[in-house]
Amino acid sequence: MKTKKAITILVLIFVVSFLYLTIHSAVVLSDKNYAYISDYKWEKNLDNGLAIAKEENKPVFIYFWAVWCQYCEKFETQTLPDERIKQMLENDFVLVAVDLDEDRATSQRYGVSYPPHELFVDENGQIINRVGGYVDADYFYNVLQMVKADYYSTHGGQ
Amino acid sequence: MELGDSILLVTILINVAMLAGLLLKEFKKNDTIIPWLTWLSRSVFALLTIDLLLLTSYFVYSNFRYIYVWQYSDLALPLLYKISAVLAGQSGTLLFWVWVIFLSSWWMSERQGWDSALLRRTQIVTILVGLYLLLVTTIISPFETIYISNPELPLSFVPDDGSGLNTLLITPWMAIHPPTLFLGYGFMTIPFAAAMVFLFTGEKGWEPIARQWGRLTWLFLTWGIALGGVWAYLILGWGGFWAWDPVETASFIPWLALTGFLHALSQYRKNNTNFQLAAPLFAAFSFSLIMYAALVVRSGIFNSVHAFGESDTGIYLLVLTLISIVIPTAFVIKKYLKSSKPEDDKSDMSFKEMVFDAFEKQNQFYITLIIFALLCLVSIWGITFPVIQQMIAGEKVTMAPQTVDFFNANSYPLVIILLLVAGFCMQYKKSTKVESMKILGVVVILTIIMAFYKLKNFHLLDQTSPFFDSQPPFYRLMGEISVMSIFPPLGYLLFSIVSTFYDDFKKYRDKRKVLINRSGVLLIHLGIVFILFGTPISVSFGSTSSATLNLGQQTSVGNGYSLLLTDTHTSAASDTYPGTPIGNLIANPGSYSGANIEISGLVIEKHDSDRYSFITIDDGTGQMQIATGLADVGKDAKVTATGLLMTDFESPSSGNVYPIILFAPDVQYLTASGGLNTESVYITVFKDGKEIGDGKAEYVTGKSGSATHPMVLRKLTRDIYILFQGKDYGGVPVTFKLIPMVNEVWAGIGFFSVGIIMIMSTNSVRKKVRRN
Repeated sequence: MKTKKAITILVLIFVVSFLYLTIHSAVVLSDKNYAYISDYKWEKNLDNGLAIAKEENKPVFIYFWAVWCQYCEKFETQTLPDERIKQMLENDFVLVAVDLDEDRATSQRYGVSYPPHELFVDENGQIINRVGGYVDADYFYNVLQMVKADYYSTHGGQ
Repeated sequence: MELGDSILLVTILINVAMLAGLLLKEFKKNDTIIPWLTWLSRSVFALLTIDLLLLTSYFVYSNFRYIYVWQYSDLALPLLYKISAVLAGQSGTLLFWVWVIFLSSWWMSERQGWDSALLRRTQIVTILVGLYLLLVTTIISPFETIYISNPELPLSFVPDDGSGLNTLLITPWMAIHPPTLFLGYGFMTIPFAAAMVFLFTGEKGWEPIARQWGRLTWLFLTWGIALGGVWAYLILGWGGFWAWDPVETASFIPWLALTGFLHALSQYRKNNTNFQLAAPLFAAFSFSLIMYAALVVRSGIFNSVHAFGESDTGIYLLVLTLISIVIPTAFVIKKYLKSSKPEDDKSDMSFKEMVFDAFEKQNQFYITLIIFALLCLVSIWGITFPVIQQMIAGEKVTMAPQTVDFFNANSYPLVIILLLVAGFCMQYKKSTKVESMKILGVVVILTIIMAFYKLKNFHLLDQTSPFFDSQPPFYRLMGEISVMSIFPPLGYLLFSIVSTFYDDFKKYRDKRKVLINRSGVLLIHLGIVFILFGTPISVSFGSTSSATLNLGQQTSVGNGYSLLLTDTHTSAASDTYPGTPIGNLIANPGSYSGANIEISGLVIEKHDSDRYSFITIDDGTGQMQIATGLADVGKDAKVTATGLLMTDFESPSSGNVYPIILFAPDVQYLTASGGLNTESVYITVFKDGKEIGDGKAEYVTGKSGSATHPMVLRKLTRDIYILFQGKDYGGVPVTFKLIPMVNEVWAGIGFFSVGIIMIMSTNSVRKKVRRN
């Protein structure tokens, strides 16, 4: 009896520390207004994003994602944390993250039927470029450069 | 009322009558209905069978008056998939589940009758569970017609076609994976019921019933989960057989609990005071977790790749999940408090004695049970915490930056302990306990050394990810553990299995039944050794490369392998194209110019400018161009577009003149006929210049999404795995993977199943149930 009790107490301590540790290492992906994917701060509402784009004269990067999507996770852990990409996205783009499970209207508007999907639009919501699915950092960096060149050639600035 | 619903209603009434009869007997010793029970049970089972066949026939004859049929089927669906579509959604699945529960109840009634009080009580609980789910089935009935939800529709209206089955589900695997799992889910009702009877009344005879039905459940759950894995791997091209998707995880949790239950039961059977509370509690957990799994799979609360059908039964399943856990737990606590006896002679043990005592077989089994419970906890927490957090704080969270890390990091140490305990228990003899402990000590030291053994790509968590450094410290620490540490415990267990088999064989040579039974147990554990050997290797030591193939050319893909594309084939969804025939437009462009027109056909060419795609299509009557926004359509795809027809259009950028061209906002894949568009590529694989096999990879698009069917060449130590996701203009892009040791995992599942069947074959419930 005593041995079993000792084992049980040991296990309870383990359980409590497990719950504590895992709650504190959970990663917040989004709340009501913003998403925090890959340590970026994303607008969740496209209209807000477009308004900011108009103000700051920047193109908008819309990232379509879903919690259950394996390739999104790959994109978020392999591509987005890349230093070059982080610098470019944070300086030259307005970031909007669309959760496919929440915001079906925006997905439908741009004909996005699966995550991940990377879409670039101007301040009026007109498509500049799109990439479907997971792409690696090198490829995505090239796309960003193209979009940037394309946008600023028509909008001046930079 | 629909015929199907009427049958459900009659079934409910009969069940109420049966319950009334059983309760009268139980409390008033009134036998009025008892003689009728066998026939009532038969009629319930027969009626539910008819109802299930009725629903199936609606699918077979494409009766789109019914929402459920309309939702998951269409005319073009082949017969097999029309039948398997019965289980594609929530209400059909529920009907099937209820059918399995009453199949079990009927089977018990036929085999063992109604004479024993224990069996009658077990039936009461079974019928209660069945009745509850039966009521839920009538609420979300699969027999609901379109006129109910759309009252404005005239009764004469019947949709021409259904909305179609999700493309991912159109495979023979759909016909076996869900039924297998739900057979297991249904069978579990009986061990649960027997355990409840034991908790309420203390009746001892519950164990043989719970044991045999528990094993049957175990077999079907194992198969169900394994089939899901094989399906994901072989057919869907998800690249692996296990991804800790919430739904996979949810079906795995009751399996873990059930495994714990059977271990508890094996000790309870030897001595009725062992685990007399843990065993029924584990049975209750297994059942409750099955409800929870069904909740996760079909509720739509959990976001998952399995979220094919969202529905509103969540709350009913949640209620049953809670009831089936709260009541038994309360009883167990009550019993525990009642039974706490004065401390026995072990109360003044020293620490050293206690450590020694922990290695007694009873305590080793206790640790085993705890580990199974903890493994359940890790998985339950991993899928539930994000849901709780979303409900409470409105935040979406993941347990770790890469979700799999959470499950792997937390489950791995538990699995290692479990393997060590299993190896020890199998060798355990009271007389040689000290030697056994010494051997275990050596294995533990080896395991710890191996945990520090650095080998590229073979750590618990993927360290190559640039995200690894920003992982929380806990995961970084766990991530450092080398997976080499799994081999000493695996080797230890294997050694124990082999040596035990050797001893058993000598000892029980003449007692065939005992030998079969004991070998079955060993084979099950051997299966686990194979599965846990193959899984980490297949995950860690695979390689991936991509290449673009051209017809007739051999292309190298690394590691000495090269691929030869021998043929490509596109099977059309339909041979007729909707809209205006292109031939008509070419013959008489003037009368269409400036009008809004729909055309469709096969893509034969595509050019992209910076903002536009120019797509040439052919519909058999002629060819013409469509100009549209940058579009992602493959060669040989069937597309349709609606837009403005222009004649003699000169492109301002290229200066090309198009005699006729259609300006369309977008181009869509043509699937209006409901069929599937299948692109197949035939590939021969060479290793060091020598041909080693061939096969085909497919990319299927349909009305409800697309599916990738990889080509898999299975070799003893590695699978060659080729993924193809649609043709490109420069050729056929493929992803080439080498995945080692997958077949060892399948072999493990094979051993496991054979082991369960061997054990079951040596037992017969019938003889063991005492009649009273």
